[in-house]
Amino acid sequence: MTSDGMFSDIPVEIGVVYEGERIRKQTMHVELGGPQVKEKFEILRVKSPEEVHDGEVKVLGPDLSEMAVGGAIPFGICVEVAGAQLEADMEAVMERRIHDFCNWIEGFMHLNQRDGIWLRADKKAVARGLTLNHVGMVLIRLFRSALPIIDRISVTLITDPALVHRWHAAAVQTYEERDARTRGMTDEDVDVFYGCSLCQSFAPSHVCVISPERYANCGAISWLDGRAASRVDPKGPIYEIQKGECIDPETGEYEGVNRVVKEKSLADISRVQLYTAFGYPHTSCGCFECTTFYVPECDGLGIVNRDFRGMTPTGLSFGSIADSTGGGRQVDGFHGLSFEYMRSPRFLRASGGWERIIWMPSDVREKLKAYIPADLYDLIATEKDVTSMDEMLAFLRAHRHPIIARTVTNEVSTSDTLGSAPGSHRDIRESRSLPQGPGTGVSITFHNIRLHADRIFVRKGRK
Amino acid sequence: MIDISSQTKRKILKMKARVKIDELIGDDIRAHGVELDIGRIIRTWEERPGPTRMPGIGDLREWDHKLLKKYPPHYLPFCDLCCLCTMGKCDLSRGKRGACGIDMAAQQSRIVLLSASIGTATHTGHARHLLEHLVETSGRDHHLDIGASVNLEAPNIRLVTGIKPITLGDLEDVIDYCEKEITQLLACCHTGQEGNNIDFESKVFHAGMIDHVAMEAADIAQISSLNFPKGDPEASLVDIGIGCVNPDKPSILVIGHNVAPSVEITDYMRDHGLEDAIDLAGICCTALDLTRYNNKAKIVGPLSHQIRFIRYGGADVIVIDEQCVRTDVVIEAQKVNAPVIATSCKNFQGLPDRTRDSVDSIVGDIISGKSLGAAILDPVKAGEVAVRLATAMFPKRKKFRAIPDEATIAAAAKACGGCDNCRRVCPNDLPLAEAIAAAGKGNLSLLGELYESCIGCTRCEGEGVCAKGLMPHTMILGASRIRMGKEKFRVRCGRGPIQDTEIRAVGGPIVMGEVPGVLGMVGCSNNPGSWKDVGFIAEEFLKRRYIVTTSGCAAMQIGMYTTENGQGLYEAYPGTFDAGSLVNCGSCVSNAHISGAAIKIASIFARRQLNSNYEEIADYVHNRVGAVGIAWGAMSQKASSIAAGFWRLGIPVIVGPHGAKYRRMLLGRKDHDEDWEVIDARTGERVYAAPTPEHLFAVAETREEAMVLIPKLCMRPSDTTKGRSIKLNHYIDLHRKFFGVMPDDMHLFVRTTADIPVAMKEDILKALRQTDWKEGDGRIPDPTLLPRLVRKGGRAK
Amino acid sequence: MTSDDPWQRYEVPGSTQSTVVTKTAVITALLKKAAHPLIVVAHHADIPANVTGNPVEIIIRIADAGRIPVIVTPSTAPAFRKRGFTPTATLSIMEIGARLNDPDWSIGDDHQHPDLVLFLGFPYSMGWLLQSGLKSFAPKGIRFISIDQRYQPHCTLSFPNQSRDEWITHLNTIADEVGYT
Ligand code: SF4
Ligand code: SF4
Ligand code: SF4
Ligand code: SF4
Repeated sequence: MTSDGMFSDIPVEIGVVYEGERIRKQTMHVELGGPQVKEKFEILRVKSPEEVHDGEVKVLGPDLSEMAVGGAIPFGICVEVAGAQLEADMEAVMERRIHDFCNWIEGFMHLNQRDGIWLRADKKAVARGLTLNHVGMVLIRLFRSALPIIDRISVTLITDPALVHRWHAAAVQTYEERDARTRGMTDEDVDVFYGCSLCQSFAPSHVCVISPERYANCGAISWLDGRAASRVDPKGPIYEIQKGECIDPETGEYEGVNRVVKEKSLADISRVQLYTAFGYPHTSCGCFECTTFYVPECDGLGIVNRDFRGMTPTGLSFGSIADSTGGGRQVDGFHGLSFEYMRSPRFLRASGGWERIIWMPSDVREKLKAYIPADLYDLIATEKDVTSMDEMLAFLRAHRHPIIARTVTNEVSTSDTLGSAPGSHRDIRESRSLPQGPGTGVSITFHNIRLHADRIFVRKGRK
Repeated sequence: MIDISSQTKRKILKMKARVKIDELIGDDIRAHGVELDIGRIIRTWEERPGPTRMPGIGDLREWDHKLLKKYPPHYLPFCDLCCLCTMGKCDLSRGKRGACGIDMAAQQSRIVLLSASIGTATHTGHARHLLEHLVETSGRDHHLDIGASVNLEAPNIRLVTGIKPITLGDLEDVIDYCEKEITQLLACCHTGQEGNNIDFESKVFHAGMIDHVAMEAADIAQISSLNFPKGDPEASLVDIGIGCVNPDKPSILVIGHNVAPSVEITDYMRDHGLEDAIDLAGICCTALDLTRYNNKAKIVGPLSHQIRFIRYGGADVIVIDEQCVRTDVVIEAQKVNAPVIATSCKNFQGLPDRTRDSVDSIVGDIISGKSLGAAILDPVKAGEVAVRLATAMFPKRKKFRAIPDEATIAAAAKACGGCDNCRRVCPNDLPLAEAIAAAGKGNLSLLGELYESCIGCTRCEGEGVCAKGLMPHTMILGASRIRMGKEKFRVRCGRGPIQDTEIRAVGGPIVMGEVPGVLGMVGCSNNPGSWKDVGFIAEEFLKRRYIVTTSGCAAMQIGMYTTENGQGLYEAYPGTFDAGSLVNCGSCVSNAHISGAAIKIASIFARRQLNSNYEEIADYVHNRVGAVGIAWGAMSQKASSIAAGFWRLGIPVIVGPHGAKYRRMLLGRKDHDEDWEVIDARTGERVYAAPTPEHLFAVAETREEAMVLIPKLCMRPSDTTKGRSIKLNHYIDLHRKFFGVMPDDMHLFVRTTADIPVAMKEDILKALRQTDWKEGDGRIPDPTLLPRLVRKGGRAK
Repeated sequence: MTSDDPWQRYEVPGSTQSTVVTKTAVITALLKKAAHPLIVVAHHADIPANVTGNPVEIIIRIADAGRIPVIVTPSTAPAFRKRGFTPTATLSIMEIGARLNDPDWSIGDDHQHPDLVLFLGFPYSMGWLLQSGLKSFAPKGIRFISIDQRYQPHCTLSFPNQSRDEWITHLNTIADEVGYT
């Protein structure tokens, strides 16, 4: 009944409720792509209007009912779209929706993306008459519905192994070209950044600034995602920021960014520097995957992630560290991060970048191995190396971590090496008075105390 | 220097007493005859206290009135009369007032307040007794530890009392406060006190808020002292069902809510190597808490399984503590020759107090048949007696049952005259006469079918109900004999609080609409139909990737349900606080972790101050956190106080049909646009935010109605477009699924086309065009009901 | 027709209780006389009846014949739509109660507050509680009439407890009578 109306001509139901549906081997009719076949792919291309036969679904090769039950076959999906507002840069973002939309089909499962796709069709669904042609129709309708900026769209589903082979090669080449393009993209290359206020539903003064070299704080929205989202829903919570004049290229401060952040945070925040953890760091709400913590003993930064269950060498857990930041505030040295941002070449560049990092959980270090400068990798301590501050300092000294040299030469200045952040001295002091573990001194305030003493002797100075 | 050792310091801190110093000689000071009187010592913590530290019954009145204006009470008087004082009885119906001047609305609210106060008192009393015991066993200085990932250990306590509890002793201050408030609340119910219904309702909310504080204190005390799972998503799976209790072993049945005696039974068994020799099983929350301590223990089932299991003969000794214990337990136990040990002074059940007697003499008297049982208020002694009795009674009882076999039932059923009298006293209006008639003809299946919807109240067997002397409930059990022996399921034992990191992790998914809402499935077993409806509802929302939290008897009933492919829900869905996960927090007192999770969201994502800051946090939760409570089989006064605690936080609660007997609903009017304005804290402007959530307390006629209401009541003014679209998706989808068409009020909730669920866009747009829907400007307010929260630059209007 | 005790024996009412009405003509006359009648139907109406049809069908006949607005509860609506009848509104039982208590609320083509309400299809205790609330809180002068199979004590008038066959027959009679002008 769910599919009356929009999908009444499709023999199975369509809806987000099927998103979590898993099709197991026993109930599967056939597997499309997946680990057993070498060639599979899905791709979305932006074309010129005349190249797209609007609304057309082509199935090249046998359809579901003609396939051997329990088998796995090479498979390809090609979606071609056209629209005045569409750009080739948005292909990857739109392409990822193929995954969602396929999963909304009852009895149809989709995993992974690009040339790793793995789909299954369920026996019952095929028995009810589900064909690949239907899948194509559903994709077209959902794409149109979700992305009204698409003017024309066609879908081709390929099951003929020879054709899959041919199209596959072209798709792989496209992926590579795309990657090369995005990999090289820097913040200087673009005029607009994107702002995201989605989190304001829970953290009313937090704003994310998304640039090519800085993913959204949640790790879920790239610059390209932002671009697509702002096009699709111009009134929505993701919007363009004209980055404006660059105030400081090192710290990543832009006049336009400051203006928008000030406006959207209702003046709670008036300056944001994109590549720093001190002074005017980017704010975070609370959902960050990792956070830095400042270690005053050596002026270094540690990184701890949400899934890390142990204690950092400072004796604080992720929870207590995370508690000292978030909520849309700027707290020196305590900076919510996404994994994606740590993969960026601009990662905390103004605060010393990777040279400033002295500790991180071992699995995080491992995960980011490709992005940490090779000569620094072993110099960053993990929970396996040190468990206390004393051990940490000894480790850093023993491994000649650059931070040691820095502490010696920069005896006084505890601020950024590059472009010193105003006010950082005061702020560092603030971070030092972080919540300590239990067992700190007690201070007592008395209210309405009446003291009656018959005699009191007070003697000045020690005997 | 005066150096008071930390030990002494702690004592002074707790004593709140008078220090008298005859002579003090230190390096810098010398004093004689100093007397120091300290009223109360308050430990401050990082957060400064907000405006309402330990609020009294009038302190949050303004907030309550705001909510009650949006959700005015709708009354369903249970009775036309009031009989509370000797001027009565008074008829209050049709606008009349009582001899004291009270009107029907105020009287109904007064009864609601009484109910909520009883509930709160019960949890507080439970907390007090538990705490006294734990302080004795673990010490007042016992450091509270409820898990390394739970930084915000006591959100309710911090929020309401301003205390950040560090030791068990700190919780005593918390309970002191609760007791004080309950006294005031009860006083309000006296003749000639409060006279206005809305003011009564505000006090109901107060009772609810206190209730969550007391529950939290009780649960963190026991988690910490008894080393229960500490926010562990992978807490063990334990057995549940009548068939889990091994008939070939001696067995002990514990019933109630205070886990202390069960803990002692477990310890005694462990110390004497009897863990595998005796089956230890429980009913109601004691069972849930017992499995948190001892994962070999078994759960028989919810409250409705009490008489069933006793008559089934599965227990060789029955140990009762407090709350939800059948008050005829001693009579029922006698039917199967099982002795009863009472362990709480709240619930003696007429048994002699043998606390001071020797274990040998108590056990001897019971085995010889001299007494039916004993009250033993020392849990340690009760533990030993129970174990020794179980071993001794086992060979004597031979699992004697009071359930007839099929042939006996069929023969007896022939006497039924079909008068329907039994049905007419059955709270669920079950078609007993039809089933008995069929049984008389040898077909017992109709009787058997009633097994799941019978709440086991035995009203149909009451004196004089059946002229033919038939026992319908017993006949249902007889027809279900075989099935009871096979009744086996699994339930995840209570994990306790939600970890802070779990909350952080779902922040993104909630904002992005990947988690459409958080459900709290709570309450008792007073279901209008099969208990399986509870699991049915849970499964639907688990599939839809809601976070489903649960506790108490509801948590058990969710376990007693299997999916299409025969899997239990706790086996099929993970226990993390995450999309599509099933989170059993634990017993009734663990409900505080569900409200606590909502409160934590405000602290974690918006860094709102919790310390003594109730109103602001409630405003945050009400306007942003898409959580709904559902108590399908709510029965107790405790369920009413638990619900009241959610109401004051602005979290809606849905109850099943019997919940209408709580006598009043809190219903919004979606047709009154002006009721749904919020203040945009950015600008100070009042803006229409749609009926989100539409009701604060609603009863659903059918489980389908409840299931459509759930996604609807998850909507909030602050929803992002992604969030709103997914919530609408589930609302519309379920409405279509159960009622065949799209709902007629969608236009209220669709703000812009971006809110429209992608997979239904065409259909919805078509429907919207037939209404006077106009697309909004897409601005989502920073919603609040409190003008004082309007930010600088904005102005409250 | 039989007894006039509440069907659920322990739902003991209060100082006043519904007058038992055994003559359908009384109900028909009141219905015809009412300026703004309303019918409210909950989900127990949709029971398969073997005599002369389903109560829902009879309600549709009554509503059509008397041009009376019908409010149904969400779970009841499909039974009406299945029969090609679109209810005037769909509201939950308690929402209906809250609106009936509100003198400013109106329904129907004439946008008036109803002056007579027929109830049918209520789970017994929910009907009982709803009507108890109306008894004390609805504007004065509205007639509440329960035409359920079981006697409901909190209305102005109520059918007595009766067998299903008797009940269906009575409903049919009302439908027939409302039809005559
Ligand atoms: S409390 Fe008031 S209404 Fe109740 S019996 Fe006494 S005088 Fe009557
Ligand atoms: S025991 Fe069961 S059948 Fe008997 S009255 Fe209670 S609920 Fe109804
Ligand atoms: S009360 Fe007795 S005689 Fe009457 S229907 Fe019930 S079992 Fe039969
Ligand atoms: S859930 Fe209800 S019935 Fe069950 S133990 Fe708690 S209060 Fe009692």
